[in-house]
Amino acid sequence: MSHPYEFQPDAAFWRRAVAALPPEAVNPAGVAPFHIAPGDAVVTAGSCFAQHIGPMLEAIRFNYLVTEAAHPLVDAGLARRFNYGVFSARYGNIYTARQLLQLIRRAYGAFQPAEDGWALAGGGWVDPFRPQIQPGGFLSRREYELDRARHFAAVREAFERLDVFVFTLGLTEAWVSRVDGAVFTLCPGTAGGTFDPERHAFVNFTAEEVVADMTAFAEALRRRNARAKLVLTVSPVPLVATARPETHVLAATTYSKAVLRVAAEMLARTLPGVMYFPAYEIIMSRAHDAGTYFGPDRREVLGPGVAHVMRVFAESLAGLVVPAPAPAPAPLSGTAYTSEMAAAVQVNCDEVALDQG
Amino acid sequence: MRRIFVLGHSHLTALQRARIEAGAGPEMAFCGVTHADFHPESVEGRLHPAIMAQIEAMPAELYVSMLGGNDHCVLCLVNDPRPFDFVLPEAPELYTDPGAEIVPAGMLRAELLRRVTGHLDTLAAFRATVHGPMLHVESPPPIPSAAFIAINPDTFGPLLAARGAAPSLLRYKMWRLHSGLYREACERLGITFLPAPREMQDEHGMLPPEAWRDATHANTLYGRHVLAQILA
Repeated sequence: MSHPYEFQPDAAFWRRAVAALPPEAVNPAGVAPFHIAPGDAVVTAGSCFAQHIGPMLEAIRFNYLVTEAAHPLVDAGLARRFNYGVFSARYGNIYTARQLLQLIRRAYGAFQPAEDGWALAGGGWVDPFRPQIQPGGFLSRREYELDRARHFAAVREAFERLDVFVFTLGLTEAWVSRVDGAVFTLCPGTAGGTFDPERHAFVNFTAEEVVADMTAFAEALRRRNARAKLVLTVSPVPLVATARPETHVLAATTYSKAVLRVAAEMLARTLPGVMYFPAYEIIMSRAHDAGTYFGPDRREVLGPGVAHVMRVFAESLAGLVVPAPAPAPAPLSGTAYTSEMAAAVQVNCDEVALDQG
Repeated sequence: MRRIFVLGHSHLTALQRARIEAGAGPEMAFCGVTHADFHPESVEGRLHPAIMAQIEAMPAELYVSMLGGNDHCVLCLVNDPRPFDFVLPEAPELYTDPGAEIVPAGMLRAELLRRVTGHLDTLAAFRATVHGPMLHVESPPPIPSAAFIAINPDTFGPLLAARGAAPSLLRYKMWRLHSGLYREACERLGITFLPAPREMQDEHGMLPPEAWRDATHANTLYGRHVLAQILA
């Protein structure tokens, strides 16, 4: 008797595509609707997991476009500490689709949030929309405004020059201004500003809202750059904290990732030139073999997981074969462990400001 | 005050010449540590043995540091191929070049700190080594004239010939950022920070023509004013 599964490829079967393979060989990418050519300019943005994407693109020799690089007179390590090169422009982590939509609107002058700067008690200014971009804050209001103008110019340049935009959806929970709906990167009061329930409200975006925001973003982007293609990923990094008092952080994380995953699927199915890349699935796949790509905090994604994502990304989007590293000896210990941890610590998840207990 | 010991780099020369010119006055020993015989000037909080020997040769009533003082010039004496500017935190109203790349002052300060850390370590070691009052002399303000710098390039000749001197206001702001690091270190270490003599600054805070020696150094006249400050 014939049936549809008879003609399905190996990738459609758990036993053949997951259970029978070494964990690091699992490739859930499927057939990519488009590819990235060697010279294509790739821009990255998104949540803290997205910080791995830029270095990954450089490692596989993609054309990682950075339009807001640090001035070369500054030491490279220092520039990184000031968040240059972490993403294509110095926007810091962008956790939600609404935040991304507002970024492009702000960069082109279509939206100017009422709450546009937080003064620090000891002097200096914090940008509410990239509150941890500048260690110690901007040292004067004028510097903040000039830097922001340069930043917006770099954002515009990135959007207009890119061929492919890789965006990692991170969260559905966010804090917004009751005045104009401006989405803050972090809850006011955690990394600058003052929390005021009269001015600030909690939101938990639905799949429909994420789809609407990403659709509006894609439209805005293509008005400036008709050739732009989008690769969406979902961050596997759990929430540091939920603002929903009735909900366990694990349940809140599952909900948030499910919403984002559904939204990404809907967007990839409905919008031309938009695809989903399963970084989330690659990292979470280790849950099925009693292994993990997470560090001891069960949150931070470690190097082998990033390398796995990189291999699959290179292969599925560019046909490049990146050899898998030799299996790592387990357990991690000593220098290797501390190096791994040091690398993990380099990824700035500014959400940790939410949990200072 | 009868015995003064001065430890420093190239800016010490102006003071030393002024002291020689003055003839009578307190006994002053000058330990210029630019020469490789004194390198590294300090390691793990201890001064180089050659510096220690000079300190021990003349116990003093006052110790003066003229350590470092030119690292800001490395960043901004000549025009950068990628023109930049920054907002000086304590004087944000000063002009910034709209055509230049704005670099956050905090990052520039961190870069400067990285470059002067060795000098500040030596300053701390100096402070820990000797007893009695200590001053640190601020390095002289920048010379505003690009023309003068071009014909008196010190060690920056080829670079200056190729790129020209950077805008004077940029150099001035960088000098102030640089001085701020020494000022903070002095506060931390219990050292009196001696600012550049006011009468040796023009209306913009830069070095007046009568005090120019070369691209980055002040002359003996300037040294005379610093000497007067020290002895006051």
